[in-house]
Formats: sequence, C-alpha cells, structure tokens
Amino acid sequence: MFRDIKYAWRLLLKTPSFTGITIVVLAIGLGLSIYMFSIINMLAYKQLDIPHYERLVMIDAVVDGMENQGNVYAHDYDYMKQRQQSFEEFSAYIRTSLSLSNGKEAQRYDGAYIEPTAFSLFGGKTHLGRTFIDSDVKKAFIDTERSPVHSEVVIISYQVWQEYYNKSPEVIGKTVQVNGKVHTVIGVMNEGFAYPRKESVWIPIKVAANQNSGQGGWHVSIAALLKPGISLAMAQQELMTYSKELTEKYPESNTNVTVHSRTLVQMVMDNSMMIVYLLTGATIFIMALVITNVGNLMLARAMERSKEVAIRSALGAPRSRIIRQMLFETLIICFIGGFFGIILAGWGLDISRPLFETFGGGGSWWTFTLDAEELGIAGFIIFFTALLTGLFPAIKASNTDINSTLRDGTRGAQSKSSAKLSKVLVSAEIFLSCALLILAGVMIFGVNDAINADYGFKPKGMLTARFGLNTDDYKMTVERNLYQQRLIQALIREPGIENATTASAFPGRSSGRESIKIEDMANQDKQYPRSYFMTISKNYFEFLGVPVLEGRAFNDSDTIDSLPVVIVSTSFAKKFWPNTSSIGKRIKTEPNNPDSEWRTIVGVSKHLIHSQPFGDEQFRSAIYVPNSQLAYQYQYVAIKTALNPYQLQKTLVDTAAKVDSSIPLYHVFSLSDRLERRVGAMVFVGKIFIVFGALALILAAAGIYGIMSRSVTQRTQEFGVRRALGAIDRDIYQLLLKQGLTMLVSGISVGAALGYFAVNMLSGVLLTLSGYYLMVTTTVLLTISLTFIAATLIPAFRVLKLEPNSALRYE
Amino acid sequence: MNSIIELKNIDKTFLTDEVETLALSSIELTINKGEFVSITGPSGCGKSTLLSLLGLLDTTSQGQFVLNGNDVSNLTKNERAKIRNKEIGFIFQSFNLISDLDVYENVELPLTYRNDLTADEIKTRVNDSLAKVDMGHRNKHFPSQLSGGQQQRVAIARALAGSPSILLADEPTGNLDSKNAQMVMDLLHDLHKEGATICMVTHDQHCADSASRRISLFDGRVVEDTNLSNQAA
Ligand SMILES: Nc1ncnc2c1ncn2[C@@H]1O[C@H](COP(=O)(O)OP(=O)(O)O)[C@@H](O)[C@H]1O
Ligand SMILES: [Mg+2]
Repeated sequence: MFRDIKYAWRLLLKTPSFTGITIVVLAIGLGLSIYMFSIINMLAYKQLDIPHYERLVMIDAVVDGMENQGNVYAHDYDYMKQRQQSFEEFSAYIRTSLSLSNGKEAQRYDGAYIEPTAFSLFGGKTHLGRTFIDSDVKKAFIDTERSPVHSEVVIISYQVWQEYYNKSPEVIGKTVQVNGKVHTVIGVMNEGFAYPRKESVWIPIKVAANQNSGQGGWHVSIAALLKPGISLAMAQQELMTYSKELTEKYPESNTNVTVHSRTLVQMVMDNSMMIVYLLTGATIFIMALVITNVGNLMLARAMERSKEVAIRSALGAPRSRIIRQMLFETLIICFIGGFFGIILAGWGLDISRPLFETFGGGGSWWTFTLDAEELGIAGFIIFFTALLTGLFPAIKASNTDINSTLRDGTRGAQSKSSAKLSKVLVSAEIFLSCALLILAGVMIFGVNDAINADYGFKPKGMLTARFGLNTDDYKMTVERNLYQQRLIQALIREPGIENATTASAFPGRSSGRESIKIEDMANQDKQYPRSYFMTISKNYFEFLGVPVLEGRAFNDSDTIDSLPVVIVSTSFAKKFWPNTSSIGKRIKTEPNNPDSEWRTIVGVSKHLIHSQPFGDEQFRSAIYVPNSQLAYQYQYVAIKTALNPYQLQKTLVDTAAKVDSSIPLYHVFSLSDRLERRVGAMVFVGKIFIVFGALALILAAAGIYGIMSRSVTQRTQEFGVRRALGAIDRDIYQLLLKQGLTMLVSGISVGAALGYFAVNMLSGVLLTLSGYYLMVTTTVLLTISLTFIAATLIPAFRVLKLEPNSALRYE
Repeated sequence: MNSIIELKNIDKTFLTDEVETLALSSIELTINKGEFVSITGPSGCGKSTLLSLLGLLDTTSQGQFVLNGNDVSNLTKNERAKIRNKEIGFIFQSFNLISDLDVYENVELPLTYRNDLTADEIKTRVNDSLAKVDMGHRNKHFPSQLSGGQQQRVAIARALAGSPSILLADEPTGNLDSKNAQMVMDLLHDLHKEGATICMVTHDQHCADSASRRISLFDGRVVEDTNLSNQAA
C-alpha cells in the first residue's frame, strides 16, 4: 500500500502541469465551498444555548402581508392567550430602549419590557441576584397607556454591569433611574445573554387586554414554547383561526392582520434565511462544477492510461489494486487542494467578519473562525470530492475491455460510452453554469441597485443620533418641541455644522406605519391604508434638500394651538387624489380613537424611500406632522457638515449635553452608514455572487473546452475518413455544431429554467430582480453559447489543419 | 487520351522531429481507364504514401499531378476534398466505417457532401451500390454488428456510391481471413470487369499477380512496372 502511494506520488510529479492545474481548481473550489458552508453552518444551524430552543417560537404580526415585528395588538395577544392549546407558555415582550441614570450621568441601552414567563423561556442564568418572578409586576397595563412600567425592579446584562457599574459586586439592591423612574437592580445576567434580540436591560411587565382591538400606541411581540409533539405548522394554523375570528370581529383594524410564527432559530436568521438558501444552492452548484471539471481531468488522465492499465491487467494485476492505485492519486491531489482550500477559507472568513454585522438584525451570536466542527465539514467535503472525482474514472478506466483497448476494432468515432459521457458532462457544465450565471448576474444588478439606490436625497455629510425625552421635564409636546428647537439652535451655532434638524425617524431607519383615515373618502378595501408617520422639525425638508412640491413646508405659525397640519409625500397624494390637488384635504391617524384630530394637508413633498430601497418598501408613502403639534419621547437629531461626519461626533454629543445633561445622545451613526447597514448583508451577497459568477464562467469555459477538445481529438480519425470521402472543413464544423446543439440546448434550457425559478423565488423577497432576468439571461445564454461554439470549433480547427492523410494515421 | 492519372517526377518528403524522410522520389506513373493496378513492395517502401497522393489525401513535395486532364498539384484542401468526393473511391485496410452510422448511412455519407443530387437519386445510388456488394439486406445494421468481410463490402459500396473515376484500395484484404479476403478480391475483379479502374496496394503476391498490371516499389522508387493482362486471362 505504501508502495502504491509512492507510485501515485511519482506519477503526479511526472505531470506537473496536470497536477498543478487540478490542485488550483480544487483549492479554489474547495476553499469557496468550505468558506460558504462555514458561514451557512454558522448562520443557520449553530445550536443556541437555550433549553428547548427548538421548541421556542416567536410570533409577530403580519400586516398587509408584510411582517411587522412587535406589532401584535395587546388585545389580540390576550385573546389568543386565553384560547390557545398549542403552547406550554405564551407570553409577551416589547423591545424598546431604556436609559439608566444615577442622577448625573445617563446612558442608553437596548432593552425590553418582558413578561416574567417570557424571560425564563430564554433560559437566562444570572451571574448575580435573581431573575423575574410574577410578583415583581405591581399592576397590569393596558395598551392605551403611554408607558407600560408598573414595576420597580430591573435586570441588567453582564456588559452593563461591566460598563456602568464597573463590575461592582454590591450592585444588587442598588437603585437606578430607568427612563427617569427609580428601579432596584435585582439581577445581572450571565455574559452573552441578550434576548429576545440584543437587549441588555430588562423590566418586567404584565400585559392585559384593552376591550377593543387595534387601539393605543403599544403593541407586543410574543415568545412561546410549543408543547412537545406539536409542530410549528400546527400551532401557526391554530393562531390563524384566531386571527380570522379577530378580523371578523374588528374588520376596521384587523383586516389583513394575521400573525406569523417561526422558531427562534428562524427569527435569528430573519430573512437572511432566504440568503442562506440562496448561498447554499449556489455553493452546491459551484461545487458540482468543480467536481465535474476535476472529475473530467481525472477521467482524461485515466483514459490516457487505459493502455497501461490494459497491459497491467493482462499481466494479472487485480482490478481492485488498479482502482486503489488511481484513487491514491486523486486523494493526494484532493488533500493538497483541500489544504490550500482551508487556508483560503480561513482567510476569507477573516476578511468578511465586518460584513456580517447586519445579519440577523445585528445579532451577536456569530463567531468567525474555523472551529473543529467546520474543519470536520471541510474534511467531509474534501473526502466526498476525492471519492466522486476519483472513483468513477478509476472504475471506468479499469473496466475497459483489454482486447478492444489493445486493438481498436472499428476505426473512426469515439468509443460510444466515452462519447455519451462527454455529452453528459458538457450538458451538466452548461446547465450548472447557466443557472449560476443567471442568478449571479441578476443578484449583482439587484444588489447594485440597492447599494446605489436613490433615496430621494443625498446622505453625504449627515450624522444622526437618537435621544429619549423620558424625564419628568418633558411630558408634553410643547416641552419636547422646545428642547428640540434649542438643540437645533445650539448645534447650528457650532463651527463646522452647516445645519441641524430633528425628526422621529430618518430614512434608513424605518418609522412605524400608521393606519390613516381620509375625510369623505370611502374605504375601498374595508381596511385603512397605511403610511409611514413621522414627526419632524420645520426645517426637515430644507435639511434633507427635499423639495416641497406643492403647498408649503412647516413654519413658526404651526403651533400647538393652531390648525393641525400635515405634509404628505407625492406617493401619498397621487394615490388618493390622482386627479386633484390634495392641499386642504383632511386626514387622521388612529381612526378608531375618538380623540384623534383631523389634520389638514398643507404641503406635498417629494417621495423619499424611508426603508429598504428594494421590494415593495421603496414605494411606500409617508406623512409628516410638525414636532410643534405632536412630539414623541424618542427622536433623532441630524447634523450636516462638509467634513467627514464622524469628526463632529464629539461636538454633537457635547453640545447636546450642554442643552440638557440628563438627555444623552446615543446610536451615533452617519446617515450613509445607516442606509448601508440596511443593505450590508446584500453587499456581502453581491460580492459573493461576483466571485461565484466569475468562477462559474471560468470553470465552465475551461471544462467545456477540455471535454470538447478531447472528444474532437478522439474523433480525429473519423474526421479523416469523412474528409477522405469528400467532406470540406465546413461540413465538419457543421457536423460538430449540429451534434453539439442537443447538448447546448438541453443544458441551456434546464439552466435558464432553473435560473428563472430561483430569480422568481427571490424577487421581491430580497430585491427587485425580475426586471433584469431577460437581459441577464440573454447575455448569459449568448456568452455560454459562444463559449461552447469556440470550445467546439477551436479544437476542430486544430484537427483540420492536418492533412487528411495524417488524420487517418492518427493514433 | 484515356489516362486517368498522370504523375510526373513526384517527390514526397516527411518532416518529423527535424528529420526528413524521403518517402517517394522521382515517381513517373500513368494509369489508364479500365486498368487494375496493383502496387507491391516491402513494408515502409512508400506504397500507402503513393496511394494517399493519388487520392489527394496529401500534397506532393514536388512534381506534377494530372487527374482526368486537370492539374491538381496545387489545390486548396477544400478543392481537393471536392475532387475526392466525385472522382475517387477509397477502400481502407481497416474498413474505416463510422461506428455511429448504420450501413445505409455509411454508404450515403459521401453523397451527402454533394449538393447536386436529389434525395431520390441518393437513395437509388445507395441501394444500387449495396446491391452490387450484396449487402442490401443489412441496411440497418451498425458496423459493430458485421463481420470483417461484411464491413469491407460495405466500405466498397461506399467507395462505389459516388461513381468515382478510380477506386483506391490500401491493403483491402490485410485485416481479413483468407476466405473473406478471397471474397473481397472476387468482388474487385467483378467490378474491374464491369469497367472500374482500380489501384490496389498489397503485399500479397497472389493478389498482386491477379491484377492487370503490377508496379513494385522499393525505397520510394518504382523498380518494376509489368503488364499482366495476358497472364491473368
Ligand atoms: N505522415 C507521415 N509522417 C511522417 N512519416 C511518414 C508519414 N507517412 C509515412 N511516413 C514515412 O514514409 C515512409 C513510407 O511509409 P508508407 O507509405 O506508410 O509505407 P508502406 O505503406 O509502404 O508500408 C515510411 O518511412 C514512413 O515512416
Ligand atoms: Mg502501408
């Protein structure tokens, strides 16, 4: 056996160019596959450190077919909770942001109001103190209340304990102001606990139902534990029957409102799951291309040696010995290729770490190294490749009839089985590369669109930060507005800051959408239209450089006592008043709330993209209300500068502290970064697909050329005969193309169909893609056809350069 | 004139690995209509090379080649292919049937490279040729399903299908047992009697002597040219 390995090694060294090319193809293919499967494994299948995590289900509202996280009406939650049979536990949480303050210094964190049962569902273990119990909640809240807090205790994360309390062991029992109210710290969680998403401060609540569905400002998300033996689909079906009942009872608020349940694992993945499927599919295709190519190289090598093999079997070498010896060659090549592949994959993982911060809503669960598990996967992939590429050619070569190899019967064409094999291989290469190239091309265009999307304004030089006006000084709109105007004035006075404004949301950070009622307009859909709803300072449009196309922007005459006004986007105006002006028309939010005011439209602003620049979201309309008439607790501030915006980060934070030191700014990001973060995962996918596309084309071109040139060379004698009988060059070219046509057409049509299927499945979910399908497909089909024709004609040209006499004598 | 082939002072050299081989030198040869010429000589003396020149499968290095009164010494590859198709029928030692094509398609093949024949004409010619070699009943067989002698008869039918001016056969019996070899020779003699012009390479003395004229080559030169027609009769 050792002798066989040594012999294999010697044979490989004797053909350095074959060995080199094969190792390079393998290293690239295996490297990419190992890299991709590590990422996929990491994203989708890593176990979460929670007991029963596979039964843990997250439930959110679906409105108009779009998932709306944190948007289940408290009433509906209670309604389902009373009736449901599928879950052991069924509890609510609300993700929010909470500020901790010791009276002097305030710090803001992502936090959650959470029912004690939901908290324990996530399996949190405390580092210090204890977790929540039911009696921590003093009073249930109903969803019309502005603040749900009826508790005086708080649990903090390990990180908060570290940063805010300097790891003080006496933290338990200490008091701290949470959003301006005194709370007692009762627990510090273990390091890494950040559920339901990425929170680090938790306050217990108890959710009770309002009498009516669809009212009030607070909505919840649901975490639940499936009873053993109940499937997710069964549970979802049960919840859907309640959604239907609710829709019948409350058509105005609940039409087209349903719920969607998925496991925690799925939620962590979010719609990145789609990306995972996409990447898995593409990787398998690349791998198939690599295996086809390497397998073909091995086969060619085995066939070249078939004479040697025939002689060796004639001398009595057993077949198993011959196969084993050939397999060693493949194994050696695959392991060397795999070794470089692992190095490539590790390097790839290293450089792509930052790209993953936007996956799964910025979850903190991913680790970016090749650990034992991934190395195991890598080993499996390498071994699998070696087996596929080595075993088949070895069996085939050792199987050749000794007699016919040593003395070929009919002159002329290739041996039948090898011709058939060539056809299958070429069709496979065409089909795989077509599908991949179509997908890659469409993805690259789609991602490019997303990255270069015109949001309707230029985000360059803008820096944004968030703040919460949650102390007792800012209970009323007037006070909240006043703070914002003072902040704006203070910021504009700072050198380097050209302009400043505030709003409840800026593009890239989607604001909530509200139901809108339009005066004197019947609802066609039995359901209120929805629109992004923002409260803004009067210079918002001027700041963004977005024109108010009709009517006016807000100004100082819009006060709390004046006529309630609203500005709508052109997309809103065109939708409801396609033929007339919308100025002077009246609309209101919270249609079921009798206290909700009618607002008069005074302006129509240019359409802006407020959330993702692809799919349906880019077309969603928006309405804007002045901060002077309605101001929320949580707002964003934005400044504009000619400099790199981050140079003014300190100025921004310090200036705000001078205006009111109890209101900290947090989440400081340039607006460009905010927009890019929304497409960050897409950027990664785009880059991966550029690599996939280029590799697919190179592999396919090389593979098809290799196979075609071999099969043409094998037919040299046949062509010699045909030429002796009077075939001119054109006859031979035509023959080859005609025979190739079946391979080309079958490969192309299956590939294009598969590409179409994939693009259709992805379009709208991830990106707007279908617009590119035709163009990309045409280009891909043309490229592949030309590649194929070149791969056919170039070797034929070489063979036809010979005199027919030499062709006939060709061995 | 009824000469079909006139070779004047033909040389042929091959260049392999920087080594020049003079395969034929100063060949003067005329073949007339209706002759059955056999070419003999030891292995490597240039018999196949001469036949491939006659069949326009290769170019001469020097000299003039007149076929049916036309100088064909300096034609392009495609022009030579067209002439081969109409004027020359090949019979090879190893049959050289195309294994993907059945008997009918193999015989039809040279006719498909022409565009002056209707489908009906092609059909008639193929069937007539197959009938001549007594292989009409094996139309749908593939070469691999035939014996060597049968394959060679199909190859002869293929050579006849285009009604060439001359049949060129390179050791047509070389791969056959004596019984099948005799059958093929008989067939060639029948064709010759019907008026075909044949030029056959062989190293079988008996076969060579059964022709109407025997040419011997040695080391690329014609060393003997004997008319045998009286003896043969
Ligand atoms: N295509 C070729 N390339 C190089 N040398 C050739 C070629 N064809 C024939 N020869 C050489 O020319 C000589 C005559 O060959 P050939 O005509 O095949 O002999 P014969 O058929 O009489 O046995 C030999 O020395 C042979 O090696
Ligand atoms: Mg010879």
